[in-house]
Amino acid sequence: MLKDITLGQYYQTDSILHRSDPRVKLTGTLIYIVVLFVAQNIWGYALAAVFLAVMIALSKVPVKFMLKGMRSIAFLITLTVVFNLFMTPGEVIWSFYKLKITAEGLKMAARMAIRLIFLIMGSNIMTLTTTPGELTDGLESLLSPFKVFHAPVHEIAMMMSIALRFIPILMEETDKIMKAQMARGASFDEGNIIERAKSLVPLLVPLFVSAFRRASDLALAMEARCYRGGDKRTRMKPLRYKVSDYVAYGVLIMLLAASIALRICL
Amino acid sequence: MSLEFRNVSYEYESAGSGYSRALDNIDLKIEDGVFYGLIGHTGSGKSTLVQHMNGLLHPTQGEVWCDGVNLADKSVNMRLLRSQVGLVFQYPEHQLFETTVFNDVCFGPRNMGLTEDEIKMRAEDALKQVGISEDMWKLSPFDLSGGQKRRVAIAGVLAMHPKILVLDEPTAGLDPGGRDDILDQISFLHEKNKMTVVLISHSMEDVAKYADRIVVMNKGRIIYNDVPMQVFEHVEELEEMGLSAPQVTYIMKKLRDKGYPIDKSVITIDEAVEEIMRMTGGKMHA
Amino acid sequence: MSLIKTEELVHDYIRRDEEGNEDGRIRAVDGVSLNVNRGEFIAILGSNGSGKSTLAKHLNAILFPTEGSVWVDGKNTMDPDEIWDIRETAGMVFQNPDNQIIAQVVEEDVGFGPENMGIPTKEIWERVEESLKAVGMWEYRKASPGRLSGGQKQRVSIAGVIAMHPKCIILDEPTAMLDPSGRREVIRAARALNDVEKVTIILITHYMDEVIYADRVFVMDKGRVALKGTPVEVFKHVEELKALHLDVPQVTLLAYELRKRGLDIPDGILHMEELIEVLEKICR
Repeated sequence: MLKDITLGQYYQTDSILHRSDPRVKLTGTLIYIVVLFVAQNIWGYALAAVFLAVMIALSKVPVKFMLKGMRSIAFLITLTVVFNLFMTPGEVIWSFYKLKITAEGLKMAARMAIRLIFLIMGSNIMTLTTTPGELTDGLESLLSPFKVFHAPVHEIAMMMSIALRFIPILMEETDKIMKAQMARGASFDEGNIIERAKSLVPLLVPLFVSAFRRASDLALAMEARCYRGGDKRTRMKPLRYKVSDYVAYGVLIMLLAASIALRICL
Repeated sequence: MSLEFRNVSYEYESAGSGYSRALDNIDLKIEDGVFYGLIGHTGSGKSTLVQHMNGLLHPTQGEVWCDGVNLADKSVNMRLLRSQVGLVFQYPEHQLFETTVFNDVCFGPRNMGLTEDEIKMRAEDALKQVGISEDMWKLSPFDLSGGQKRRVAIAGVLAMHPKILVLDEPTAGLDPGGRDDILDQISFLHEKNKMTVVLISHSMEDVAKYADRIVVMNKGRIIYNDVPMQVFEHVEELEEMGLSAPQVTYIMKKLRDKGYPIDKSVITIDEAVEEIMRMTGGKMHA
Repeated sequence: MSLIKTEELVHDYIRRDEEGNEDGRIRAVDGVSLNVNRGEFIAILGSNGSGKSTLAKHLNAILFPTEGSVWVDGKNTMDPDEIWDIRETAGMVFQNPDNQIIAQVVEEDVGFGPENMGIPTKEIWERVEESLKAVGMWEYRKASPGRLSGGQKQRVSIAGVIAMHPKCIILDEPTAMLDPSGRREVIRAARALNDVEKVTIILITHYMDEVIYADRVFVMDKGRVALKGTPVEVFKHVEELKALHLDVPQVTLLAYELRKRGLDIPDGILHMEELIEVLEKICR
């Protein structure tokens, strides 16, 4: 039931993007998002589109697989489009009863849809090509300057990585408990909103109990393997920049500059 | 209550790599009052099969019929079906959620819309049947030991008065004493109430001891569906599927291979003792 | 030579009310003295709630004695300066395979222990390789733990402990949640480590067929050692074991029943071949 979510999953293959440093990919995603918001005209979007297309090609992830992931957010995109289409005031070009479509609304809806699709596809490429482990390592490294202010950077990264590891396990568990309660005559899709909320109790209580049990088991297992926080720890896979990573940074800066130039000059 | 699988296949979409077939052309009739043992390697489709019995899953091909009704039919009352085909999942104690043991057992009967008196009566009966004494009824289920929790969870299904009781590895993780308690209890209910039982187990010794018939699954298909003695004749085939026969069957087979006059079909200790005593006959006090 | 020693070990679980006052006390381990020598394969048997897991958790300083003491490689577990040394000396594999794998790639999980110990990167890789090879999981090094079977996950957990180069591995009911083939995999891996690498193994279980290869067996009941000795010596006590909620392998039970019926069969038969040999002698 809950297992068919491909959005945000790691796709195992070998490509330049898979091999590049997670810090580059994180920074790159950030810059790409900035570019999307800087874009004001068609040229700005064209630039983002070209960049996205090149990245998709470089990632070697089948486009079909990527689009399948988009299915799960199709509803969100439709909702955004509908809202913008009908709710933006301006010059009416079509109306039916109380519904009005304006020229501005049309433009806005298209722009929002493009932004949203581009945004999600872009960040999807990052998660498709980066293992969750690399991702948290990259984040920890990028955030490490904040350690000066005693920010628990290592702890946050460790928490993220454990959360990612346990999400599929807890999803499977949810499925199991739901079925077990349904076998006792429970129903999760009947009645009004209060009844539905109540019907979640037999699901949520066991789920929490299980999550806490797993957490305490895991804490014990980590202690038994000498885990004592980030100090004195060495790395099995230390992050090291390669020449190609510096090149990538260069490309990213050029991309940012180009998008700003397009906005100012055109 | 008749339950029949006709040509049932079940496929599901697995992440990334197309469709997997968990059940492949299953034909099976669950007869009234029979104790079935369902065995198969992990991933052979046992759990998928039993989830079709109470409509938690529906076939992608073929049909499951219950008392003349196709379970895929929209008009089927799922609650009623699930009270009649009681399914106890693996590690059922993980489904406990109520504030007291007693209330938890009431959950099933309450969902059936019974009267409050009837609910209480059934819960009391069920708890007694699994040997949970009255002084524990008001405790939180989370304060019980592992074996007790397991029994409370089984009581939660028994309280619905199922005609068919399906148990997915009810003894996993229990010590031998706890295992015998639960299986003896189930066997007693089967004898006394003529309840149909489907027991999924990894222990060949247990199915040999309790089951009237054994259904063997491998890669989504039913390979054997026969009385235990016949099924355990196929030791080599079972081993190829990652299964085995009870240890005593091996011992007797070895003796037979060495030329001793052993009846072919020995699957329990008691039978083996009798057989060996007969074989050694007069030499008892050697 | 002694590697692990407990002296009159007592452990109480203390329940406290909201104010933190003692509300109840359950004695889980009640005066256990045992001695494990280097290179031994020890099995600790007991029913659910017999105190065997509580005992095990004392052997690598995860729990601490209420009374008595525990010595690991000459170090007292009550000494706070020695805790990390003790945990490196005695590694532990737990029951639930899902709740002890930390990383999302097999090799990273095996590297977790060495990382915590501050081992240099190059050596971590060497240790990961040798450990995964020792349990036969090298070809799965890039796999996600979620895709593995229960037995494979437990072997990864064992590799994760071996990578820390412990002198002793404590396996706390490692097979309780596995199917028969998974159980065989794990027990085979543990025996191989003991035979080949001479690692001391302490196996906690309630499956009798897993302990027949142990050098010595301790049977726990209500926090105490009820029976101890070699497997042959322990399995003689069929009735006592049943009373302790345990049983014996079918061969042993069959031999026992036949003896009761008057056949001349020795005590404590553990292997099929032994029984068949004896029966052949009787028939001759």
